[in-house]
Amino acid sequence: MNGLTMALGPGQHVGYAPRMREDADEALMNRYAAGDARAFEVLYDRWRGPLYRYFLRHVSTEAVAADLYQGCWEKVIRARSRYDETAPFRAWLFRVAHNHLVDHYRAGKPETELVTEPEAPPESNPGAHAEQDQQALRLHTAVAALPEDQRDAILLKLEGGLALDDIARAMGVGRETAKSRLRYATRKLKEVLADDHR
Amino acid sequence: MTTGNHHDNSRDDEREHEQSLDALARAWQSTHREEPPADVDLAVLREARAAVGKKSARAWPWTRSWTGWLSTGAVAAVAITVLINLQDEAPAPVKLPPAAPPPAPVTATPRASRDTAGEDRARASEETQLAPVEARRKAEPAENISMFKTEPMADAIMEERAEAADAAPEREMEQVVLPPAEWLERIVGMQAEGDPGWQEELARFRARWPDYPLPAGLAEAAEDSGS
Repeated sequence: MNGLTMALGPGQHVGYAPRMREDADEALMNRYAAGDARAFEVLYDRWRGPLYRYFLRHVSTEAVAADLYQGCWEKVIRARSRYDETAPFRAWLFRVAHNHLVDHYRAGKPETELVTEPEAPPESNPGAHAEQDQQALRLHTAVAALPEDQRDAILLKLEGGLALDDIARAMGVGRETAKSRLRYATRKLKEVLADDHR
Repeated sequence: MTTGNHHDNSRDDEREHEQSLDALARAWQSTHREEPPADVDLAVLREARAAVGKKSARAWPWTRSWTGWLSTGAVAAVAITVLINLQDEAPAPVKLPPAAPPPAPVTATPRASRDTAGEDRARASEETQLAPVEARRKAEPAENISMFKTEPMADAIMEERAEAADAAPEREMEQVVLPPAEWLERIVGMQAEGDPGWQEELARFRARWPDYPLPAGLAEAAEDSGS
């Protein structure tokens, strides 16, 4: 069961046509802008997880992340008629997300301070998944400890899957600056992974 | 040679970075895959549907050119119709009564103003007929009145009211209410002075007081004159 079906509840089935599932994000966004709400549902199902986690790794609590996430989608919905189909949808989506996050930081609310310690994973599966959980925890902690710009660059890469040029565009910086941030972040996280393998 | 080494180093560095990034991405994918709360999902989807429930601007671009003009024209037509209806419904009296018509259950008209007595009665009757209209106009808020009438009409009404207000005290002075005995004395006096108007005054008295006994001389004179 995917996330959207779960969100709609067991009695509600979206029932996308197979062709719709294969459609490119850009085509779906265009169809939504033209009034096709079902196209948005497919698009939403594809991006709900990565976008939510992008916010979750940036802020301290799930409640704040959910708030930012919902606000970001509201901006996407309002801006649907301004979407330029020549740009990749994911790059546009994460640019909106980045700007929304910057607006949130600028508001300077105390509860929006950056993550220092991510929440511990649940203890329900201490056996087989214990090692994996520990690695995930260390990775999340390392990401949270990155400077804000480096964290944003690496999350745009890891969660959004953005290419370097799109990361630069989303962050509003030059390509080399984005590349540098990404390198520094990668190097630090690589050390965490290396420690895991020792 | 040095430049070539630099390029090689740079390329190696780039390759190493790419490999690190791939390894990191794989490790990242295996971490917890948190998802947004279900209520947030529902809220977003509901908003997305509501947003396109009203027709998308991009979906019907061809209607935008004329629907704006059509709606503007329709609003203007309705506004003009309402204005015309309001003007038709508004009362447009040419002549208004004075502000406070004097009650005159019994009046004796002095000689000097006797010729205008008929006009006064006619005006009193007209005032009685217009009284409800005037009362309604007074009850209306000021802004309603000004909304219904045009400017020239308002000027005429104001002039009429001013004139009527000026004339009201004079009429009150002319119309003196007398008891029957005094009224008869006045008539007898008129008769004695040879005023021809005594008969008319007597007729008015008898109309008002048909059972009141007349003095003997006045009754005989009245019978002689046939009044």
